[in-house]
Amino acid sequence: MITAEEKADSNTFKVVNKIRQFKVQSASDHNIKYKIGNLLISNDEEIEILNSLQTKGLIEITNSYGSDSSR
Amino acid sequence: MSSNITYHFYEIKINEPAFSDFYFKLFKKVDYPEFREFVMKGIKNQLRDLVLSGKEVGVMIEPEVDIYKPLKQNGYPYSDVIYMLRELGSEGEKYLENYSNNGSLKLTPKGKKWVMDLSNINQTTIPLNNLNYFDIPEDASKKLKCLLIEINDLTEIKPYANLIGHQLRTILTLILKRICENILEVETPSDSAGLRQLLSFSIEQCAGREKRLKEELIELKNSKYKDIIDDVIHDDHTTVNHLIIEKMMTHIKHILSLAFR
Repeated sequence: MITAEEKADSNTFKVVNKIRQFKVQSASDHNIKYKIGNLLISNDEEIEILNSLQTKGLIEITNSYGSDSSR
Repeated sequence: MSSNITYHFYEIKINEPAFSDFYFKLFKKVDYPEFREFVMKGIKNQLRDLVLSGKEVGVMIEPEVDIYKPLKQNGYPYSDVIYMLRELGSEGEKYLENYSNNGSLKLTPKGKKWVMDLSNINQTTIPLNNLNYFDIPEDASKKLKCLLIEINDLTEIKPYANLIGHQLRTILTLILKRICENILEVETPSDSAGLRQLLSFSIEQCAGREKRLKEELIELKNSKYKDIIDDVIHDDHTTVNHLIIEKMMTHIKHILSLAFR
């Protein structure tokens, strides 16, 4: 049985791992463009984790944008 | 039927080294086996680079300069690298000789096989014949014997052409030194002169007294095998043609038999 803390750590790791992958793929050492989604966690939670990483001083969110579309 | 699709992009600046420290601590916490494999792979790749660059052959590895510092620069967690390298030393897998906290290191033959991914070949269930290409002279030095045996222990040439090419250069140097000292009885040029100079010097010294040996050495020099190998051996993306390696091995086998007759 997975505890709440383990679940939170696991989700946070998914996000930081994704940031690191973007970093490796990026031409810039420190600036990356991060796309929300594809982590099997909710978008809200993913954004919440990004904000918490910023609060901890690990990243700075310099810009954010998106688009809503209906079909 | 309609659905709303929301795309969100964030531009992020990563604050180092805090981000990497956090990343590795969390990685270690959520999936230790995977984390361990990741760090171990980093160490292995670094050791492999040292072998292929010629740093390891006959030269001690300085852990601080050759392993810790470059891995740290690539974002690997410093303390875990130190800890895991210890596991490869004399108390652990015995891949490294002379392991101590501050001392120089040297790969054992077992360690070299591991670094070059040759150990898995030996563990395969399909019986494979070793090359056993070179005859090992009884009075050869321990180092020369060891280098020849390592090639003999391989099961095929093609996948390991770069490794063999690299090793052949060291073997040739040792054989030429033996020829100069024991057969021609002349002092060899300093190591800094390089293999090409040592080869030319040996040919000159053979004049008038070691006809067959001289012919073999001239053929090797003119064949340009050594230059071809020099050009590609340190290039990650190029593999030495195994046919060239086979020809060079044939030459060196002949020279070896003349040097230890």
